[in-house]
Amino acid sequence: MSSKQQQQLQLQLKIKYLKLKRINELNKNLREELSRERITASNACLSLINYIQTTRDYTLPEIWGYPPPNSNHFITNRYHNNRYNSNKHEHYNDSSNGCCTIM
Amino acid sequence: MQTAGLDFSKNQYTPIIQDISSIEEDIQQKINFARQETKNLYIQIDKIKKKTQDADLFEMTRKVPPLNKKLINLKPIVDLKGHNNKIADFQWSKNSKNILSASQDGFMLVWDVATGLKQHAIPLDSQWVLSCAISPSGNLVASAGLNNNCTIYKISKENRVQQNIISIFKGHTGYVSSIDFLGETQILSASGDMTCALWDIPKAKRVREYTDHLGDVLALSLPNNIEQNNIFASCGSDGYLYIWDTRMQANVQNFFVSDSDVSTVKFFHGDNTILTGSDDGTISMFDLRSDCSLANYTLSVGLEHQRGVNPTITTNTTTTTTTTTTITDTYNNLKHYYPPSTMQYNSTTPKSPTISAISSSYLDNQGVVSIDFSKSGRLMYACYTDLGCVVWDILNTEVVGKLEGHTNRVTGVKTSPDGLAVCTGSWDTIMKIWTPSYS
Repeated sequence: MSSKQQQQLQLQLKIKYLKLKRINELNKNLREELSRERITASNACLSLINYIQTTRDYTLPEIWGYPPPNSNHFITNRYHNNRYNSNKHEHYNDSSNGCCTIM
Repeated sequence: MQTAGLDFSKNQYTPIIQDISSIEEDIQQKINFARQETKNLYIQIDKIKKKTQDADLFEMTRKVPPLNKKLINLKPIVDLKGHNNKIADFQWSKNSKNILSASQDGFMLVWDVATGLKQHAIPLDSQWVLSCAISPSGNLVASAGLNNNCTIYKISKENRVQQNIISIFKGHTGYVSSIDFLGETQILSASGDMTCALWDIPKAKRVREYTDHLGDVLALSLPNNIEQNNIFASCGSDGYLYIWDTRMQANVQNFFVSDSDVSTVKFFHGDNTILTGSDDGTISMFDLRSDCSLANYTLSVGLEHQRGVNPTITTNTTTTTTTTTTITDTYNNLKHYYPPSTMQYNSTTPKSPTISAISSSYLDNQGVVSIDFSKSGRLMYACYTDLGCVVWDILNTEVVGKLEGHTNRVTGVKTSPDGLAVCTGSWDTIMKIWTPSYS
């Protein structure tokens, strides 16, 4: 038998060996997936519902009412800012109430 | 696996032909055996999964009262105006005071949300930006996009307009679709080259690659509590959602989502649940603990619930009181209240079978672009390609409103980390801040 044929055979063997290795790797991953701890979907849903129903959320006045005054920094800061802006506006532009001047 | 110490090193011509064929047979046998085991494992996993998937969210929420009044307290308070091209991406700072935005005008801007004023401007290397991120301290920002790079900039306190690059991460061979900081020293990126990568900023190099995706990776999401969970999620055009341990190369969990591109992903409060949005318009909810899907949200179903009910939440004064309504009417109502941003399907079109046919296909062609949640998670904000930002009741699978005000496609919706405000960004160059008013 020529060395070329022999090499051919060894190559085939190597490929088969790699194939086996890959399948075993897959099986290992599958076994890990199989042994994963799982809770039932119904319990996952219940914990989700519980979180949603017990967290205060002012986007839903129907359930949680309106935020107490000055509790929302986005509005409070905005308000101060507006007052600042309008004061500035008056200062520069005493006579007109509009914001635009048509030239 | 042990294979009798096979050595394939060079110059080994000694084994006789029978030896080789017997080894080959042996391996073949092992392969057959392993394949059989694979089959069995798949069957067992299938069984277990069926057993744990004993309910879906909507079966469990039957007793939850629906949001009858459809009141949603979100008022636009600030418009962030300053970019002069489409808003590509934006992100809240961790303290909920600032927003970083990236636009195709070639700039990233840092905004002070309270005043609506710009604090910093960072000129970009490449205007074709797809994603931006701001570090937890707010000292670092990053941009990434069609130039395949992820660039890190330092925010200079003295200089308002400055490009202070501290690192350029090259290594992706496709566009970078999404990035996010993992603390102050690491950044994660997702790319069209089918990989995600973790980069170390002080070391200035890639430390890990995540390579299980078989298509473009389109988005990634970090858990809300990164300190406790060393995981992140990514989704892509292969239709899969992968969960990764940041410290491991192989994925730790995966979900098949859809046959179409999965374009956006977001961790729900508590980090045990993940929602994905697909190009086919479906939003899916997956739970990591039960390892299965819990719910699906599609517009055609979500709108059926509100037949004959006025769904508007804004100060829209138009009201229709129809006593008998059909699904066709629902679609027409939808078109009335949720007019698309294009002129193609106008809201004033008369009711006719053809029109309803158009509108139903119109609904089917809405890809999900971006999703986020209200503070409790009861409301889900979802941006669709042409429909804009729709508000879902997550427990009752029902569309309860819409955040209206943009004049072009809405590209993103993000809730502030403190849960008090929502920001929407659009192709109309503006970002709007929405927050609950006092009364």
